[in-house]
Amino acid sequence: MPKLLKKHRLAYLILFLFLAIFAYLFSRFWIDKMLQRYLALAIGLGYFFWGVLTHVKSSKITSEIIFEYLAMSMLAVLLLILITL
Amino acid sequence: MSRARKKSTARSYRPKKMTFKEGFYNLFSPGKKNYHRPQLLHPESLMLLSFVVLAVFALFNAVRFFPSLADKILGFATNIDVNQVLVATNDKRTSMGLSPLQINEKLNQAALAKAQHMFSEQYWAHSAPDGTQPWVFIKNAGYVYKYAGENLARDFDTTDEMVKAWMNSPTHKENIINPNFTEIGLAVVNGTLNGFSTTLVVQMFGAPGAVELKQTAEGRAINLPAPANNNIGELSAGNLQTDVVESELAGSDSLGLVEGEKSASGKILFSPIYLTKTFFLLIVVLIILTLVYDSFVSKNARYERIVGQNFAHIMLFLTVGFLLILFRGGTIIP
Repeated sequence: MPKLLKKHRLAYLILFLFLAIFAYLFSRFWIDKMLQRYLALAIGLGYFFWGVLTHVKSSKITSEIIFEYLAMSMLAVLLLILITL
Repeated sequence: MSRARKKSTARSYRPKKMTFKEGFYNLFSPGKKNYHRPQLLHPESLMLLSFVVLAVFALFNAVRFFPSLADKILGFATNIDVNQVLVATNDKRTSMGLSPLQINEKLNQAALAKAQHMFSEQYWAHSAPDGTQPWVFIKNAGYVYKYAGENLARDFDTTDEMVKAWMNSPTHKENIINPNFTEIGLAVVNGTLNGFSTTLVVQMFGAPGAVELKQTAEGRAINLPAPANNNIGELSAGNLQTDVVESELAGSDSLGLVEGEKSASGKILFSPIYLTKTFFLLIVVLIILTLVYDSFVSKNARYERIVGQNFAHIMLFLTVGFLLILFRGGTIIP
């Protein structure tokens, strides 16, 4: 794992910042459920594109990987949107 | 002989049935049968899991369409207590050096009438679809005000969370800590709003006096013209078809709180929000544990495979889990 982190240091830093900012905003606007739903959608899209771009950059991209990121993002978005309903 | 051979061939094409143990390993542990990736982490399994999440969520919420069942099993009423609302509101005021608000019977009736009106007309807003303003309920209750204000909330599980939400909203906070207000009326009412059992909380603030009015919910001082006719009978209990629950508040008399207010303290078996949160958290924990185990096994076995980055997936689901834990229900009108 540390080897992987070193190799993709910048990509993981971006992902960490993205998730941290998202978590802050999601908690900050806890009264506004509609905004929380948009934020959940944004995290899903952001994570999907981050995953695809990271793999494209390292030239290790397959349709399986794209579907994996899509499915992971979908599940995360679904959990966050459903809890706000 | 030939028949026996045919049978044997047919049997060999049949997929092998997995034992429970094999199925378990296949689901959570990387191996040959699942292409060195736990079956749970395959895209098609994750999609299936998403449908399971949707189905369970729908099941939890389907109970809401059966109010009697919901009250008995899930207890969709909340633990909001009018006494606690009053105490918490006054605590906020006294901490800022302001005088505590006194309960006013007429403002209580105005708050109850507003809650009942929202249920009967099926809306959730400061102003009714027919244009009825909050001040109409206050006037109809016979309260003559100099200043008046209104705070609304719904679906909160506890009084603390609700008051915290109000204090986080500048316009609602302004009502709570407004030095002009001296009296308050409260109503906590259960009913069905747009097909869902819910609990509405109404706070009516007032300062007795002349005609000038302040619409503090929007943070602006405005002067509303006095209504031409005050149809006091218009909002009588007989006209309303609200699912109002009898008062269960022990100390309600001492506060002069009106009938129809509701506190369900100690009666809730399962709160829907906590039930949903628990189920979702279980899903998140299951995925994180599978990802961690997969990373550990694949690293030790040195599998050559092209899959998504487990560490990134773990980061994503840790964030989701963290937000689920911190998530609080309830809504207020900005």
